[in-house]
Amino acid sequence: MAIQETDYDALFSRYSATNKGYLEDEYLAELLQSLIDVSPLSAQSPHQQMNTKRKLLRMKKSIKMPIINRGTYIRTFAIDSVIESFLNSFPNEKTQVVSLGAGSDTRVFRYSNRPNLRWIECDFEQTVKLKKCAILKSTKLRNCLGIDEQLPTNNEEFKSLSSTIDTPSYLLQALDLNEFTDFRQLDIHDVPTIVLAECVFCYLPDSTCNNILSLLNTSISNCSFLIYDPMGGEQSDNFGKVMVNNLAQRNISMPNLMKYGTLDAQNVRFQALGLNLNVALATIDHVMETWLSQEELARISKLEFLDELEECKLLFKHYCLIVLYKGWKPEQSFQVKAIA
Amino acid sequence: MDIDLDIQMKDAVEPDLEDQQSSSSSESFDFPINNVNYSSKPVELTSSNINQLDSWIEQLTDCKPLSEESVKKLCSMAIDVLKFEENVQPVNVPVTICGDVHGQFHDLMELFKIGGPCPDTNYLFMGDYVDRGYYSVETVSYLVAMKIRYPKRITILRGNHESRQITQVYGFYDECFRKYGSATVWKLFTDLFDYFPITALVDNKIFCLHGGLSPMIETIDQVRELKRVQEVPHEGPMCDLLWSDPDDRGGWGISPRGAGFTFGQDISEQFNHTNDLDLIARAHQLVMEGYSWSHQDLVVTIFSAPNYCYRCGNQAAIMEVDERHNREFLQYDPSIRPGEPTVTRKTPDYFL
Repeated sequence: MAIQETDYDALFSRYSATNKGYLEDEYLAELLQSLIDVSPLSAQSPHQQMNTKRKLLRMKKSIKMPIINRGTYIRTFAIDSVIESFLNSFPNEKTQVVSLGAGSDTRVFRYSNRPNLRWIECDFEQTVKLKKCAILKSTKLRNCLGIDEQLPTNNEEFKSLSSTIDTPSYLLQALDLNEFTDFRQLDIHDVPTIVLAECVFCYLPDSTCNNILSLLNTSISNCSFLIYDPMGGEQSDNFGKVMVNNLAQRNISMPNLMKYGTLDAQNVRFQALGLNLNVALATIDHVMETWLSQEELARISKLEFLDELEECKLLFKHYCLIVLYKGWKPEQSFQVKAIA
Repeated sequence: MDIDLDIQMKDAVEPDLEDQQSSSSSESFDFPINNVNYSSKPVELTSSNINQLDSWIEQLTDCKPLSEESVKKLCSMAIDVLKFEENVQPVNVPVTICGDVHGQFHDLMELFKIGGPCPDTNYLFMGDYVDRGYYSVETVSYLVAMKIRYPKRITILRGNHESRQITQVYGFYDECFRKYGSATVWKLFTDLFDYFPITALVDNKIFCLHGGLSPMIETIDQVRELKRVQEVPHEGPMCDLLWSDPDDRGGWGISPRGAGFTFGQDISEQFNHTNDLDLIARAHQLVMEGYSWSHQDLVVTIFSAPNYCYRCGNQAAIMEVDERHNREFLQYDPSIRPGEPTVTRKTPDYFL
């Protein structure tokens, strides 16, 4: 449950960054409002229903510090950039994005106009069902994906609702990654694929991560992975220890935060799996410094006073972007590269 | 840390003082407030004043905020002390020089434990008392009360966060609203901040300020000529003194913070030579060990908020300067906080 709630952190952070002008996302406000509207469906008693909705409304009203806005922006920008790079490498082929623990991500809407692209999202059943209801509730979102199905009107109907959405270009499906043991649990096509794990592996034990990687890598002939995760830093680094303690207060645990605390440790981790994939790694700090054009940097610098430069650097050094790839090459600058 | 949007705020993106004066958000924030006639010489402490201050200090030591009425009296007394201080406030050795505190009240108490209690030890604080931490109100109230009570023993400079604009983004405004139900206390304090001295000179040898140098300031005398009693401007010498940072690159550079400049070692050498200084001591930047030398020991950065924002994991430090100008750094970690209800404290944000 605590991990499912981290999706709200991400959602409301994106909302804040969008409102401040860092990001453009015509679907975000729509999905967020729709999610709030359907949230009571998931609760049984009227009291719980009210509380669920009230909690989300409160989160919607809270605004984020400039450092969080900037970090949310750069994370979204970084992932979008690599996905673009992947899609551009296969301009005339069918391609596929598999978004693990997709939560309330809006990319499926944002990329819905791409020809030949199939988008697959999976997450916990409850999360997936709520997303489905939010889509059904909104004409804009429904039309965007070409879906027409009846929105449940009460908790009973919600419970019996199938969580799946399955169209030629979109598959939304409930899947607990801890129970992902057979690739046939997801209807995956064997076309060039990039698997997105945005703040997902950090919550999972090694064995689960490795299992997911090898399952997908063996069942898709051209499969790449795009991973965004926090890193605890060096063993002597207090940042990671403080993070572990702070997250423990929210009952969130990140089992490998310290184990794979640096880019080097992450590199060794993925190379040791023998996936036969190239590895490219960069900290978000590096992305911030090298991926943005001068114009874009100037644009975002003007959005808010940022008196948190050192803190920003510190925080961004503790997040990384990892691309495991073959059959194409991300065009961006990375700090560590290993060719399989 | 989130800011509650129930409270209307002015945005700091395009700072505009003219606009702020006529701000019509929830209150009108004209400044300064003073239609009261203040005395023409520093306030003399009477025994009743002393009793009052001592009881406030005792209350604040327990991290209990003063009443709005008391804050009003406190700020009015403080103006009568601070307006007589100089832009370059002279300070004698021995003194203990401290950097950013940022509302981390319990860590401030730890600082006094490490450095020795005031007034037995002389203190010089280089600004940034408010914002980010959860106890800005208690922190700044305490330091201001100590300043009035022991004016010769403690010096409090202005940091870039002691401003109307920045406090509306980084938490002090919101905290005042939460703790007092209105922006009155925020207004009282931000009006008071205009009177804080902007630099200090320790025994004519150590120039202390929050940020750094300004391309418009070559001599310390030029600082003395500034009109400081105003909101921190967005540019110009006073802004630079509170916003600038030393840099590895030589010369002047544009600061990525959007205010102030970066200055290289050549600039520090010239400034220290011109003004016959040993050292520039400044705060303003998070440094993981609590202090950090730059420009071949011409500039030192001191940061006194351990585990800044309850997230950074850094150590804090203060710098003792003795009668013979020997310097010693005392480092410390976050205080253990008995009685602080950690469960009700919101955990700092991460990207999740």
